[in-house]
Amino acid sequence: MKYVLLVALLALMPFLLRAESGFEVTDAWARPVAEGMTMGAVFLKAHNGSEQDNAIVSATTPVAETVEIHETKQDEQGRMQMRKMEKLVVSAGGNVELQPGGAHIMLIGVKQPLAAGDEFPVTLTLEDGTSETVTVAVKPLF
Amino acid sequence: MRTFFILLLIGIALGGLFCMPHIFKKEAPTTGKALIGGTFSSTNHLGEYVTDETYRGKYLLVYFGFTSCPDVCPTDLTVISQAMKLLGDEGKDVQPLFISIDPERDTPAQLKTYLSNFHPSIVGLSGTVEQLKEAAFAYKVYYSKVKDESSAMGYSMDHSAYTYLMDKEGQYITHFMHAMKPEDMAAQIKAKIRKQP
Repeated sequence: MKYVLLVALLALMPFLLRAESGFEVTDAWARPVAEGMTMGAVFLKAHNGSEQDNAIVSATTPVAETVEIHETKQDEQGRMQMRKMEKLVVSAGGNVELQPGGAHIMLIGVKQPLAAGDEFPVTLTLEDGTSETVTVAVKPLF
Repeated sequence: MRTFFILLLIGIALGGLFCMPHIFKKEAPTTGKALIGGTFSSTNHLGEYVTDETYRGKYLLVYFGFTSCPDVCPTDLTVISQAMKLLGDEGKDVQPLFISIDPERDTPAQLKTYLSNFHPSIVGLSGTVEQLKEAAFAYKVYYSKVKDESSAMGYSMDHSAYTYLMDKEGQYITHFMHAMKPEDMAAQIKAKIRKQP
């Protein structure tokens, strides 16, 4: 009987851990990427419902060769700069919004055109070892 | 005697004028023509050779960017696209130009593909590194190639992100900031165009 309980508990472990990570991603969207173009950006909202700081450390998607986390900054002379980030921290109980002019999930080597209305998955790897797959909606530009 | 006094008065007046040459000028040199804008030559996204002269008779909306730019440039090109849509018929004399600051990667064909997602009126300009230097110098645009070995991008371009409105003779009228509201851009363009002779 003891063993049955132990096995059941072990079987439930991934779900328990997942619930514990409390990491929630919503409103993921991207701009269209025309045929032959290779760069794209994904924007989203992240909420860390846990009591531990967490971070997005990497990401993958079937639609791009490489995925990185980048940040857009404007210096005091009004120059725009884009830099790679090691990770994107979402503090305990905190929210982070990735939006134009701030941080974004950068798609490098986009393999197929992304048109408004399309959807594609992106899997985010978190610092706590868990991962989160989100559906990204491609929005029209204007 | 009277003639002498008249001559003396004229002399004093002339002397005064020569001592204060600035009163001949209606305005100080710094308030004259803005130093933004000038000559450039490049290849457009259709592979045609164009210069600033090509666009005489059109108001220009000039923006410098690059096609590997996933955030800043699409944001501003979307603003320009929406503003052009809002201008409708009133925008028929407005020619938006997207000048590439990354001629190494941005071929005319690349520009054509990139711009297919934006307003059809936008013309992309590319060319040699020297041609870009000339255009960026004319518009006082800052750009710089920033290498990052850790990124799959290899390098990115830092750049200023203003949109310049030029008159039909290629003279500076005003400029717009990064990520401004398209409604505001359209309204300001309308107001400025109506004021032009």
